[in-house]
Amino acid sequence: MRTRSLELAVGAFLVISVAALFFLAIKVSGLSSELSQPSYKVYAHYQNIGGLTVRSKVTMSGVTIGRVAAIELDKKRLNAKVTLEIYNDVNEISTDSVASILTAGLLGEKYIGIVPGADDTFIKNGDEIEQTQSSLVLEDLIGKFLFNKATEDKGSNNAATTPAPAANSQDDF
Amino acid sequence: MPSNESPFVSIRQLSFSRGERVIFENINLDVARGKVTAIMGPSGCGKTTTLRFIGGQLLPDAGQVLVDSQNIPDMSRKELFVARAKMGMLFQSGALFSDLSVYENVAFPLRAHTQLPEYLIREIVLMKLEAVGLRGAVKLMPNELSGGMQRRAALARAIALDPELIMYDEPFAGQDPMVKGVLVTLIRTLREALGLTTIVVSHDVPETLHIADYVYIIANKGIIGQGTPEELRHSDSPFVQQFLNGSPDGPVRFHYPAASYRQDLGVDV
Amino acid sequence: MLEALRQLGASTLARLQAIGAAGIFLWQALIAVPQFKTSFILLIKQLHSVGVMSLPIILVSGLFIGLVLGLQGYNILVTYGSEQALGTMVALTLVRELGPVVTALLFAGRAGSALTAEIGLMKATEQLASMEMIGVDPLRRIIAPRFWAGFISMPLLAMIFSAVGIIGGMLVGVDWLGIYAGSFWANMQNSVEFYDDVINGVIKSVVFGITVTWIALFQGYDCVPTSEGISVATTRTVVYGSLAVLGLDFILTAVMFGGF
Repeated sequence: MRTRSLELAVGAFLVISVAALFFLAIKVSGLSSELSQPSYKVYAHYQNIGGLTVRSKVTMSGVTIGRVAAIELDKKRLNAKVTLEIYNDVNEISTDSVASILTAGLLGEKYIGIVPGADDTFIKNGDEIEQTQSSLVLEDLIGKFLFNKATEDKGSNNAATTPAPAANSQDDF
Repeated sequence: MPSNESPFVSIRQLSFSRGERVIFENINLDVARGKVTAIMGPSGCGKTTTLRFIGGQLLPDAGQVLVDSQNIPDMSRKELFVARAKMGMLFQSGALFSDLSVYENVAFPLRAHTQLPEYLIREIVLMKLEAVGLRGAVKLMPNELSGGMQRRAALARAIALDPELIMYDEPFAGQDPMVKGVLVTLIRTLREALGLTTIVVSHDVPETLHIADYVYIIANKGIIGQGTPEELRHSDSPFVQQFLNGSPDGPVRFHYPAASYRQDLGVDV
Repeated sequence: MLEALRQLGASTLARLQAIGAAGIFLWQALIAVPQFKTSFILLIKQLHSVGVMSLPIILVSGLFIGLVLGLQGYNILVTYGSEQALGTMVALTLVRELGPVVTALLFAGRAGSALTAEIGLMKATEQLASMEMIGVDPLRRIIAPRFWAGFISMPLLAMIFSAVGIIGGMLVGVDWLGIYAGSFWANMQNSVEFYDDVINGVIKSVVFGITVTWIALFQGYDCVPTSEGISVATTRTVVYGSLAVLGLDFILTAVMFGGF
């Protein structure tokens, strides 16, 4: 009867839409690799997180090994406390590894890159990564560059001392 | 009133306005059981509106609409649902559901009001279609039927539940003489065979007077004439005479109100 | 001067009244308790006429828009040396904006106007009145299934549109213009967030679906029952529906992506 072909068509429509949804979820937004991968939490403190956001990637050697779960202000130490969620199968990160906030490309988004250290002990759930490197702030870079440039010129001119421009960078470089 | 029994439909003291226009003011109207009552009048006087009151599609501002001694405006949705099963209405345009076949159209009221099994529904549908002469068209779609056939199919649908009251809204409007003849025959046959109380709304004078047992003429917010066709033909009301004879001029003037002709032409200043 | 003000006031009140009537209409159509077996059959029928019949235009438009996005996007990005970002650009544009919005506009034009014309014609030929006389509520039988069909179909169509568009962008970018497929997809996957982008796009299309279907059904139900009235109503559906979609899109985008 007519209703049979109608139902077939509607069924096909629904199937196509679900297929589109899966396509969007998995191929387009890469959902499956993030969803419910069991992970453990690790903390890191930074002077400046720059543009790092929750759900930014955590990578090692460029491979995604986790996500930033939370960012909050540590009221006692007065710096940023970042919670990293690292996949359970990446469990041999030594305790002296460095977690730096890096930029993807020149003006891209921020992510955390972990460079492994040499210690024999590994970080576990709830541990803190001691060695951190904050995000590079563009203004500080420019300030440093100008300061260095001015110092160079001063040295080569052999002129009277010019007061050094105040360095306002407090990063632990 | 032509009959001794209580009327099937009784409209008492009904008033109704649309916006600022008063359509009815305190009208009283009775429809006798088992007889054909015609409601006539010039276009726009509110004839179809009367049918809508009886069917419960419109609520009057004041007054009662008694159908089989129950007041329609007072009814709850459930009561109205039951009451509507007793009425059938043939709309001016037939109003068959365009996405359903003739069979499904006639079966529609049966499916809505009863839990009858499919084979019984089939029997009833075929019987009704046979009564209107369309049993062979049972599988067609409405757009495959001519205008007259659509009306007949709609009539079959209207009688599907064997109602006690049947209302025809302008059944003769715009139909060729043969179709009119068929409809007149059907109206009469149904009335005689089933004892249906019938209301016909029309402004088609010859056909209506031919089949009506009692006629109401509505105009100017009320009833300006009523009686059997014979009584009306001999009425001395000039309006009734103008209406029945179709005279272009009389109490309803031919000319739309305007300034004097000489003035418009510029003869007078 | 006063006359113009008075007219402005009167027309505003008239519009408010129309919106109120539309609201009551929607409420009555939705709270109608469905009879499950018949309602389901009616819903399937409407899903077919509203959803499935819109598939061709959605598929073709999605593909073309994806192709054009790929081309134009490439042209712009290549001047910054960032053509690797083409996948990201096409995907985000479609999933966040073009998918829901263009689908809604096409839907208003195709399915919306068809709904309005159908209901208007039913009103003009007294089918709605006769259904009421038989005792069946036309809001429940005619309007409600069409509303749910629109509500369900729109997000589905928008997802299909986005998916086909992305494939179109891929066809242009990877197959024609030679971007490396790996970076096309990898960049896209890194920048498109399922919950923030895809789901927000779906929420948008649900809102648009409700709005366009509601407008279409109300215009048909409320129209002047003449052929002229139907054509006015159909035009109104497309115009009001499109404007509503664009206006709502701004509000939703501001809330979802602009951080209000």
